[in-house]
Order: sequence, then structure tokens, then C-alpha cells
Amino acid sequence: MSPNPAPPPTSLEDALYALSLESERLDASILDAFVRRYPCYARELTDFAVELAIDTLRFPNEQVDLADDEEIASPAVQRAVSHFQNRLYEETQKSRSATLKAAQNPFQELPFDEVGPLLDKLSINNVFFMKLRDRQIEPDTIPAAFIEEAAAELPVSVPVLSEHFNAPQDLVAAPQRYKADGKPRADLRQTFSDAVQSSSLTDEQVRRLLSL
Amino acid sequence: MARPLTKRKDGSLYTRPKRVEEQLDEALELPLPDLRLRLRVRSDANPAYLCSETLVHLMREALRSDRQLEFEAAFRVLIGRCERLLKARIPDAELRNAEAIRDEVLSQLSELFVRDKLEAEFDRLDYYECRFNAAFRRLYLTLLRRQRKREERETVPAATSDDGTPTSVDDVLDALAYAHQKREGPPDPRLHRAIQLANRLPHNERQAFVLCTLLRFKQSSKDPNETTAASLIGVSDRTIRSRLKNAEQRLQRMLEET
Repeated sequence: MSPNPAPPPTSLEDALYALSLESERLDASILDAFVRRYPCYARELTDFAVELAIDTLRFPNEQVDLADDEEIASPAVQRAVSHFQNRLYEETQKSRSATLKAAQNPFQELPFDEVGPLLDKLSINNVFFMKLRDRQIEPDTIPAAFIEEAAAELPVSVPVLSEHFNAPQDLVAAPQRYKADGKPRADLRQTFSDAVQSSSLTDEQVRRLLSL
Repeated sequence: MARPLTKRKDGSLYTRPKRVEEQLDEALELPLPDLRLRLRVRSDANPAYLCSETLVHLMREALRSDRQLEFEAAFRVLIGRCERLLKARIPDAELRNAEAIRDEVLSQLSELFVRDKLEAEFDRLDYYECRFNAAFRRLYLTLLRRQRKREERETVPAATSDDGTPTSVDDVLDALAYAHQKREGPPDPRLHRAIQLANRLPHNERQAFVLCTLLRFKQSSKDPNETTAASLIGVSDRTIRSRLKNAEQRLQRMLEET
């Protein structure tokens, strides 16, 4: 048989899985072909083929049914389900934290003495500013014109500001910013229109913002 | 129609067996209550039975669309099947820590689904959609081998009376060769014991023994391009002959002890 080197990206794990799928017809020619195809994994493939050959002999029939009365909530099944849920939660949290760290908050980074001038330029008040900073407004409802205007004043690029509005809320939901006993719920956001109307803005400010 | 697999073999995409595709065409349309009913079917002989390959695909799709209830219903059944399979292949009687190893295998299987959910390019579960139990061997055999090495094959349970007991090394070889060549039909009563004996051999001798007697590699060859047991393991012709001889002598001693 002539050598037929594999394309480089094949991992050892993939090579071993591919060999597993050949388990029922495993013999010298199959292992030989795999070793020629993946010469860098020859040792691992050989070791695994030895285990595979013995196991396939002992358990040639792959079909496994559950007995009619078999309980699928056995302790081992419960442990596997818990493992899955815990790992998924853990990984999701990690990825969420990474996203949170990556997303800039241009409002939070603004020096204190620059907040007042920004409020004037955007014609908003402190309450509305906090809603923008704390991502309490549904990002899809914020008018593009307002985002452009705010981005120009902060100043940051429009994509950076959009990313801020779209990031999860709890980045800035630090409890010390709130007087209420309970922490604000991160899953509730107002529409832009509702946020404008519930921020004690002047009629003129409301009119302007809603016209954008 | 089910989403095509993305894993490739020799440049071509892996494909699911026809039976799995047919099951998926139907199962992907099932509302959750109907799916739960189908998951209660335990016997492969029943036409409503959903095979493990089908379950893997349904679970991946459920994870993709955040249908947690559907995922968990299928996951419990799949893990239940795997546990049953592992109890037969990693029995408490043969290995210390058998339960811990079985748990670890199930955790590793769960991990594949976690990665499938989180990593866009991860497609290892494609193997499980093609031939679940064959792919599953990849997981448990690795852990099993590690544990066997740890335990140094020091304990072997006595053969039960209905197992049949090989009386010579030739008997062991016959039983293994028969099983390797003829997978259908009644099992050789000597096979279980022959495998137990082969598993008791030290790693190097077992490797040489399986390569030469089961997989039928030549011990050595004058042709440098021919793959032999010696070239696979990376040892000299003399070493492979010595390991085989030692394996046979050890098997003979083990037979005499029992």
C-alpha cells in the first residue's frame, strides 16, 4: 500500500474516533492504513487498536437497550445530568464575564466633571444619563440618530457605543448605586420612548428625544 | 431534513446511516409530549424506538435552540443506555473504582455536549451520529486502559462454571481467533476467560500478542515497507519474538494456576 499522508489539521482525537468507527472490521490492513495516513500518531493508534480489538471481541453486539423497567433517573444518570448543567453554567458564566470585560462603558469612563457638559449637549438629565450608562434601555429601540449624536459627544465610535448598549446589563448593576433594598433586575429594560417619558425630563427635552 | 454532518473522512463528509436519517425526518417534527412518549420505547425491536444516533442529533438541535426540556429528556435516556453498556463493559467485579470510571466516562460524554453548545467549530459529536456505540468505545477504552495499567492487572475473578475454561495457550488462541473471524453465531464459551487472561498480560506482551494473534500482523519482515508488529511498536524483530514467547509462557502459567 502506498503512503497517503493525511492533511495536517487532523487531530489525534479525530484519528482515534475514525479508527473507533472501523472497530468491527479492524484488522492488520485497517490499522496499517491508519498508521500510514497518520504516521505521527502511529503509537497512539497502535495502543488504541489493541484495546479496540479486545473490546470488540468481547462485545461484538453494539446494541444496548434499556430494560423495560429500567430507571433512567439512576444516581449515575443524575450525576451526569448535574455535571452537564454545572459545566454549561460554568462555561457560560466564563464567556459572559469575558464579554463583560471586553465591552467598554463610555458613560462610566467619563470623568465626573465632564458629565454635566455632556448632559447639556445631549439635552438630557442625570436620570436619563444613568439609564444610558446602566443599559436600562432596549438597544433596538434607541434611535440611530441619538447613538450617533451621543457617540460624537463622548467621544467614541458608533460601534463602541452600540456594543455598550447591547452588552448584558449587570456589568454596571453594582448595588451601591441604588438606594432600593433590592438589586435592580437585569432582565428588565425600558424602550427608548418609555425611558424618555419616565425620566422627569422637561417637555422640550422629551419632544426633542422622541423626534430623533 | 436533518442538518448535514461537517466531519470529514478522506475528504468526504461523514454521513448518518439511512435508518437514522429516516428517524430524524420524523423525530425532528415531534412536539415535546410526543417525543417523551417515543423516548419511553426501550426496545430496538419496536419501530417507534429512537436509536442513540438519533438522540444525539435531537439533543444537539435542542441545545442549539435552547430547548432545555427536550434536551434533558433525550439526555437522560441516552445516559441511561450508556450506563447500562458501561456496567457490562466495566463491571465492578473486574476493576477497582469501576463506578468512578463509569462516572468519568459519562462526564466526558456530557462534556462533549457542553463543547458542542459553546464552540461553533466543534463537531466531534458527528461521530456519535454515525455510529454511537463505536464512537463511545473511544471514550471508555482510554479510561479503562489507564485504570488497568494502574491496577497492574493484579486481580482476575475466577471464571464461572458456564464460561468454559481454556486448558492450553492454543485453546486461548483458538477462542480469540474464532471470535475475531466469526462475529455471528453463538459465542465460544472459552472466549470470556481467554480475554481475561489476555488482559492480565503486561502491557508490552499484551500488545505484541494482540497485534500478532488477533490482528494478524507479521512479527517481522525483510521488506522495509511492510508494516509489522515490530515496526508498529518500534522495536527489533528479536524483541517482538521475545515478547510473544514471554506472553505465551505467562498464559501457560496462568492456565496452570487456575
